[in-house]
Amino acid sequence: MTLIKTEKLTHQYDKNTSVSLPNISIDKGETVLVIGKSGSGKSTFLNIVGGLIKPTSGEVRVNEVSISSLSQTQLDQFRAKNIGFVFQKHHFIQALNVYENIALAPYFSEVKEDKVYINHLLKSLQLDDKAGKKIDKLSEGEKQRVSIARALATKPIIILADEPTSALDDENCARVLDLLQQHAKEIGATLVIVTHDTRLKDRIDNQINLS
Amino acid sequence: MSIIKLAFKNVLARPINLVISVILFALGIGLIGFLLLFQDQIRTKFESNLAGIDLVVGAKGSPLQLILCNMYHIDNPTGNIKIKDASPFFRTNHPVVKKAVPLSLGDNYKTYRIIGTTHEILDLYKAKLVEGKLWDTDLEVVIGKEVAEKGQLKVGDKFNSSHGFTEDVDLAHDEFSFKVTGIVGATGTVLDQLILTNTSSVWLVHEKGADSIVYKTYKEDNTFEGLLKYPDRDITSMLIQYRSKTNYQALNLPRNINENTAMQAASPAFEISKLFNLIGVGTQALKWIGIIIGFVSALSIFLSLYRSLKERKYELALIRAMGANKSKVFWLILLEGLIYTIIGWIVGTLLSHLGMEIMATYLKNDFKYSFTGLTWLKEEWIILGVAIVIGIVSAIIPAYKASKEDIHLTLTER
Repeated sequence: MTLIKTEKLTHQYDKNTSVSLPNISIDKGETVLVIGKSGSGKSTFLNIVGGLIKPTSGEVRVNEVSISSLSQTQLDQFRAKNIGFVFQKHHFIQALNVYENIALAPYFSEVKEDKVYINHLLKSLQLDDKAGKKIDKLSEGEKQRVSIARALATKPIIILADEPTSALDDENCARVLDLLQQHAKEIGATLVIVTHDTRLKDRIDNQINLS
Repeated sequence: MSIIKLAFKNVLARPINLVISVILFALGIGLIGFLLLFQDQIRTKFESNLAGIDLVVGAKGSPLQLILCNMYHIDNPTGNIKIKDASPFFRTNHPVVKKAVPLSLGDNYKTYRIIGTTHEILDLYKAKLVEGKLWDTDLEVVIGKEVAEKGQLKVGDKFNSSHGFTEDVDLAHDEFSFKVTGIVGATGTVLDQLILTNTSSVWLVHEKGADSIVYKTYKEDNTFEGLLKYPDRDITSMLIQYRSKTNYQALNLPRNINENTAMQAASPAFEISKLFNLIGVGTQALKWIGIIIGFVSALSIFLSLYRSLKERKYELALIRAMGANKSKVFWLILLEGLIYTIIGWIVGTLLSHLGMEIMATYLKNDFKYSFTGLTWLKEEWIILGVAIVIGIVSAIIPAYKASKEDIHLTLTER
């Protein structure tokens, strides 16, 4: 079953910069690697599917909903309920501890906080002893795992990961990828990884090359 | 998690900003709150002591001093007046004066003033005996509630007075002992702090019994008629109540006294109004200092929030990415501004009440009234309202800016 479908998508950033994307179709539960050179539109694709920006033209349907025609408020709600983000750079609320950072996603998504599931995530990502710790006390690897846990906390139908492994060594790269795939599978989510990290090419067969 | 909790955590995560902003805001609120408490209590105390007294007549001098000395008992007398000069006002058929109560000031007991007067003073202050009986003869006294409590006196006790208005063992009148015959219930007026006796007791103590005629003749008389037998003797003042305040003769009476007699007449309401105007200049200046401090703190909150936006742009973009709409981000920042000012209001209000409680001892010495910080004024709710408005105003620009941040640009920054 097709979960993400794009048609004739373009996005005009300014007068001189625009990006055109090929038609893309991604099925439910798939793990897809979106690769391409810089400027090929990887991040634009991620931002449009994630509802962070609206396409200038074309259509994108997610789970049968044409998100390109949603209002800003509807788009915010759509994003909250359906998308989990993992960013390359770890962005956290510094004032909150690990657990609170993860639980913030269900709060803003207006999804009931599932404490059992969050604790399960913490345990399976080996963060259960870090739940009460402030973010700045964590290592880079731990931060990345918190970021994954937060993306999963609302049990989204799509996980969008933007360069999740670029800054990691081989060992951690493999580990993060395994964790993402394992947890996405657990909740039946579609995993879309946007990257130029060539190490992932050999590990994920389903690839979309935007170059 | 809730947006309020998140706002709280964000504010607490920047302790230096929080402490500076709260201290500044609390100082402004505290100063204004303290002045309101002080003004309210001093006004209430002064007004409750007006006790239906329309005019005070005494020796020439400062009219304010005359009022402060004879009505509020916080200043020295302007001098004495002769009974023969005062006698026209003691007439029962006086067309203007309904009641004239003589006062003779002289001594104190543990700083509580001993006043020579007549029984009518109790009617003037609507005071009632709660124990014992009124004084009957010389050296018998009725004491106010506070004198009984703080001076540890009860009916039947005896004490020696000290000369003047301050306690001094070297100036004690050891030859005469006053005896407590009654205690007056609390009135909330200066009467609670007075020791009342007949006029001749005051004369007696100061003349050390030399004029035995006075003692023997006067001792059974506690009315003004008794005083009229001694036209050449002195009293300190008279408290006068008019038959009608709007009678034109009553309106002219003070001027007539001031222009045509050796005495001075002063209207308590007028003098107290003048006093409040004088105090008002000082309190107004302090209030402006409080307002300026409040304004500076609002600026500090604004700068603190505005500067934090730069450091927190990823956090705010992240919140948006997680599904928070623009209005939620706007409210988050607005709440943070409100938290600063509400904490500042709480600390400032505590400071003002604590300050009033500490200052109460010193103020009591100066004003002879009990002040308290353990009270609440409705104006303090108005200050809270102003604090909320300041919180909103200082946070509104940062909140608007935060809600307009471009999330995808921020989050995809490498």
